[in-house]
Amino acid sequence: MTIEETWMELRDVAARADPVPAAVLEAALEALRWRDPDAALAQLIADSATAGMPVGIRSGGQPRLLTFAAGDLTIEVEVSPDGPTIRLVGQLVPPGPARVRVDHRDGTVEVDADQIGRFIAPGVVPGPVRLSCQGTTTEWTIL
Amino acid sequence: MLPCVDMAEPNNATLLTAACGGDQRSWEAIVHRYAGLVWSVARSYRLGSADAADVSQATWLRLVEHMADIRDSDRLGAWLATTARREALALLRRAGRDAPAIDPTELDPPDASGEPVDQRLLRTERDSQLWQAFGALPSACQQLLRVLLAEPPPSYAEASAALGMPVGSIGPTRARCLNTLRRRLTP
Repeated sequence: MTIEETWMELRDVAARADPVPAAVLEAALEALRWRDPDAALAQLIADSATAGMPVGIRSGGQPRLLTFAAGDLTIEVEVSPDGPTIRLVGQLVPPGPARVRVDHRDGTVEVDADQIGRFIAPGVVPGPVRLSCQGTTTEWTIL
Repeated sequence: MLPCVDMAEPNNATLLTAACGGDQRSWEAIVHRYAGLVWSVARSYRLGSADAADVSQATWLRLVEHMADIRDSDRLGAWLATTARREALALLRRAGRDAPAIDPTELDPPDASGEPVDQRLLRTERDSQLWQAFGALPSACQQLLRVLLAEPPPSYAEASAALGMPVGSIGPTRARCLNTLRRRLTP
């Protein structure tokens, strides 16, 4: 048997053993609905998860702290497990009341930040998540 | 019956421009073109199916975010492969796991975090034997071959982006890895 024959055989088996799952394809096909060309994009500028200790919802460990920034707005978020979902505890800087929207795989959670810019968003589904506030949207980040 | 449609496949630039304007059919054409590549890159880092699904979706959402910034549409596949690779590496780093070693001569034990494949999908003893032999290859071999197994097959430029490996190394490494696999199989 030549290596190209081995390759053809491997291709054939891989196509059956590990195809793109239907739900993964479906989610990708629907991703365009999250298009938001007018929003300013806030970048992830700090993430405790990549600064040393392993953290993360699926792996257990310490709450993860993330900081996003765009222009004058900074959004700080602490992520902790909340049953099968996750809870985001956030702080807007500069502080102040605002509507905060959290987009996740299965939908959207909308909450109000209080007078000093704090907000709590429960029931967020782990996976790619983004936050939007005052015309600014964070980049999608896997939580 | 549906009327005849133009069978010429629109290029990436056309699809990107239309998708950027919100055209769902153009977006779907892009997804169908590259979903296999994105999934294969995520899997090549030996992520379980939940993590690989997150990496895949994060990659597609990043494309939605950055569609307007992609200047060289011929390199869209490489852009997606690079993005999926970064997402996979970030996820592994957060989980405190190491990415597979890039040295294909290093012998690793079979991956413990991988999931057993549904045996019903493998038709014969030979299928199972081949898939097991693949799973026992050095991790860097599995990684490279898993990327190249994407459907439709990626270009070497796309595989290079997925693996962070020079284009010129891919062909020789592929041949070496397949040779190892062939020798381990009973004919």
